[in-house]
Amino acid sequence: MTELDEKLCAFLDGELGEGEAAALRAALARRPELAARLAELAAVDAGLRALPAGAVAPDLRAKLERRIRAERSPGAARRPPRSRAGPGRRRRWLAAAVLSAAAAALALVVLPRLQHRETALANVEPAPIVEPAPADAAVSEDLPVIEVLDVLAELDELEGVGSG
Amino acid sequence: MVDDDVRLMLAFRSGDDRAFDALFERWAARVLRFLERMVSEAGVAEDLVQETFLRVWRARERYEPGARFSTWLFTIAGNAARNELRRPFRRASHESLDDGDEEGAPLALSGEDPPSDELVDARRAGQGLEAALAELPERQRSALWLRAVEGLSYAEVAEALATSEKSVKALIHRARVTLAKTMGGGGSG
Repeated sequence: MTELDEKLCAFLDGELGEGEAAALRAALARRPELAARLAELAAVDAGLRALPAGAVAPDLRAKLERRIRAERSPGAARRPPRSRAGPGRRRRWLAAAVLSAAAAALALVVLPRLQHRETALANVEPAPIVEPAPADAAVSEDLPVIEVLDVLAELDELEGVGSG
Repeated sequence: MVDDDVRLMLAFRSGDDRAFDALFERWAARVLRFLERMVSEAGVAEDLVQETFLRVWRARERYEPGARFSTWLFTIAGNAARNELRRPFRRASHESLDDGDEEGAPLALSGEDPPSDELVDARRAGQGLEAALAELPERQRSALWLRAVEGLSYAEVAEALATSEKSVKALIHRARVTLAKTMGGGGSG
C-alpha cells in the first residue's frame, strides 16, 4: 500500500492532477478503509500544527539589533591585524641585539690589543716559554665574558714583560 | 502579484528599516517554531532565529523577488539549522550564544494548573509526536514541516531543500507514514 499511501499524501497536499484526484475521490467514497487511512495521514498534519510553539523572547529583537549594529560598525569590518611580534618574539629580538652589541664591543677592545701585542712581541727578546693557553681560552664568538677578560689580563702581563 | 512580505523586503532593500522590523514581527515566531523542531533545543533555536534574520539583513541588497518570501526565509532558516546540526561539537541544551536561564531548556509542554484528562491525553499524544518527529531524518522532518505546517507547495519545499519535487514527495510520504504509525495508525506503510 506504499504506492497508495504516496498517492493519498499527494492528494492531501493538493499535489495530484485533477484527473487523478477525481479518481481517488471516487475510490474514497467506495472504500471506507481508504478513507480511514487518509484520515490517519491527515491526523499527522493536524498533530504537527497543534504542537506548542516556544514564545519569541521579548528581548530577541534587541539581541538581533545588537548583532546588526556590531556588523554595521566599521571596526567590526576592519579589525586591525594582530601584531605578529608578541612578547616572546620581542624578547628574543632584544637578546639577539644585546649579544650582537656585546660581540661588537669585544671586537673593538680585543683586536687593537692583539695588534699591539704582535708589535710588542716583535720588539722584545724571545720570551720565556709560556705554557700554551688552553684551547678554550681562544677568543671566539662563544667565549664567555669572564674568559675574555682572562685573556686580556694575560695580554697585559705580556705587555709588561715586553716593556720591562 | 507581489505578496506583502516581498513588498516589505523590497522596501527594506531600499533602505526602510521599519520594513525589516515588520518582517521580524510577522515571521520570527514561525521561524522559531520551525527551528525548534529542527534542532530540538529551544535556546539554540532562538539563536538560530537571530542568525536567520541576520542573514536576511546581510542579503538585503542582493534580494531579488523570485519566489514567495516564506520560501526564501525558510531556505535560510533551514540552512542555518543544518549548519548547526553538522557542527562536530554541538552546544549542550543548556548552552546558548546568549545568556539566559530558561532559554536552553529542552522543549516541553508548559505546565499549568490542574489539567483535564483530555488535556493530559492530548499532551501525551503531542509529546509522542514531538519525540517521533525528532527521530525522523532531518530532511524528512524539514520537508513535512514546511508542507504540513507552513503550507509550502512541493515545488517550494524542493527549492528550500535544494532537491527535486519527486524527492520531496517521497520524503513527505515517508515522514507521514512513520508518524502515523507512532500516532497509532499502523497502516501498512
